[in-house]
Amino acid sequence: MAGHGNGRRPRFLNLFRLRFPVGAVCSFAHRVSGVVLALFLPVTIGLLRRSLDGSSGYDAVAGMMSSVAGKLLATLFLWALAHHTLAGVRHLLMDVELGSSLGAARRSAWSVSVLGAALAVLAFGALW
Amino acid sequence: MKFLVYRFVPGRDARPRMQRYEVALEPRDRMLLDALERIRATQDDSLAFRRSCREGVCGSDGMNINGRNGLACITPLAGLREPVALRPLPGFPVIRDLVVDMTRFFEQYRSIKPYVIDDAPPERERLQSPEERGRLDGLYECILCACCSGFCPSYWWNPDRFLGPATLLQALRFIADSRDRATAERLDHLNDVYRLFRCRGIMNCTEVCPKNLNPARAIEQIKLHMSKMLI
Amino acid sequence: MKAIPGALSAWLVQRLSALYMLLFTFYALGAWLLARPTGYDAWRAWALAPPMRLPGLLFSAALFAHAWVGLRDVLLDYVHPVPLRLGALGLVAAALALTAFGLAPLLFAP
Repeated sequence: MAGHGNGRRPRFLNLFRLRFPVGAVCSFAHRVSGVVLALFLPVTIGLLRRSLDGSSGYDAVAGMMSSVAGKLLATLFLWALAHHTLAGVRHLLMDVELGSSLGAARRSAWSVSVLGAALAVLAFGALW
Repeated sequence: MKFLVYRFVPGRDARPRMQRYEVALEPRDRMLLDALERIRATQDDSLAFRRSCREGVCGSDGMNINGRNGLACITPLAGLREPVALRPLPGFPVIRDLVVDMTRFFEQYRSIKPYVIDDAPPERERLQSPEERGRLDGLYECILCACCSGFCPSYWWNPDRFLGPATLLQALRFIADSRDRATAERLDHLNDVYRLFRCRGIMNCTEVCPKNLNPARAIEQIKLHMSKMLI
Repeated sequence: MKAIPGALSAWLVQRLSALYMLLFTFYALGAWLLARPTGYDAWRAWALAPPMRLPGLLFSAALFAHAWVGLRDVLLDYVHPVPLRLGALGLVAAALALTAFGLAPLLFAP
């Protein structure tokens, strides 16, 4: 048939043209939050060590937390932690067949995503 | 009714494009497939798409409808946002217009040995209780339309190594069949970081299945079977 | 217990480490709410107290195992050329190992 010599066939994969369900958004945020937490790991450990290294270190860390940049980064970290943990619990429950029906999965995806965002807002408020 | 349809004719088009159609529908045109046939009959018979049973059992006319996968023949026209955007199943190589290459999909299906394996001849029949037969419900009804695999991000990123929800659902159909004697081999084959374990429970598959099946849950059940068998 | 073959072992590690970390979080949160350490001395005493040591050590092990399985999954999904993928996996493994070494002094502090 004509056209086969032209090479590879195209694929439709323009993500902006697709309508994703809430579970997909929740799952993508689960991945993003996981990577964020992993990237923060050296920083988190560094801060933990510093805070336990003499009262000057403790004060230094407390000082960092009260800066604007510190608060923003802490909020990002706390959102990532909240969403990743909540979405993770959702996955653990689905592993043992709790909430793996479509309706239940949609509801839990909504709850996780909203709760994660709410906790981030709360954390930001508390830090401020 | 207004439509925006993905067109690609190899040999004529260098790149795919979207073509607008405005078609006058008859009162008897109820489903999306009817509208597509109307377009072919009255405006443009060069538009290519697969179809057969027109009642949602053959799985031929799976496509992306306004951003979600579905079967054209059982998607009602009423309630579709206009212009209705029609595109081929995401991630599959496009042969022409809305027709995609399903070769790899069917190779993957064959690779999981979709038949009962029991080389020992039975005395009379291979008996199965109603309860045992019940374990196939939600699995045997798959029509291999590929709406699920075409909406699975894990399948998009690794279509040649990840088996995808449709094939994995069928794998469970045979694992769960009490007449099959190859459960250990089936589970062993699936116990691979690509073949099954690319699935991370996104659940796009279950969202779009036109037969209301749940491939995501089926994959979870395979993981549980594996855990029981191998620990 | 015989070795679990295939990818199932990684999946189980990911799930079990997650479960342990969840339990430890409740444990640590509860302990923190009870003690409410304020100021450096109280904080240090609380963080390095005996009831926190072994669970904390296990938490760290669980954390790194969990992070490795998760990051490996990300790379397996998106990085297709084999040499590039192996290189990326090596980099991530090295980064995690280095970070773990950074944590070690804390875990074994007096």
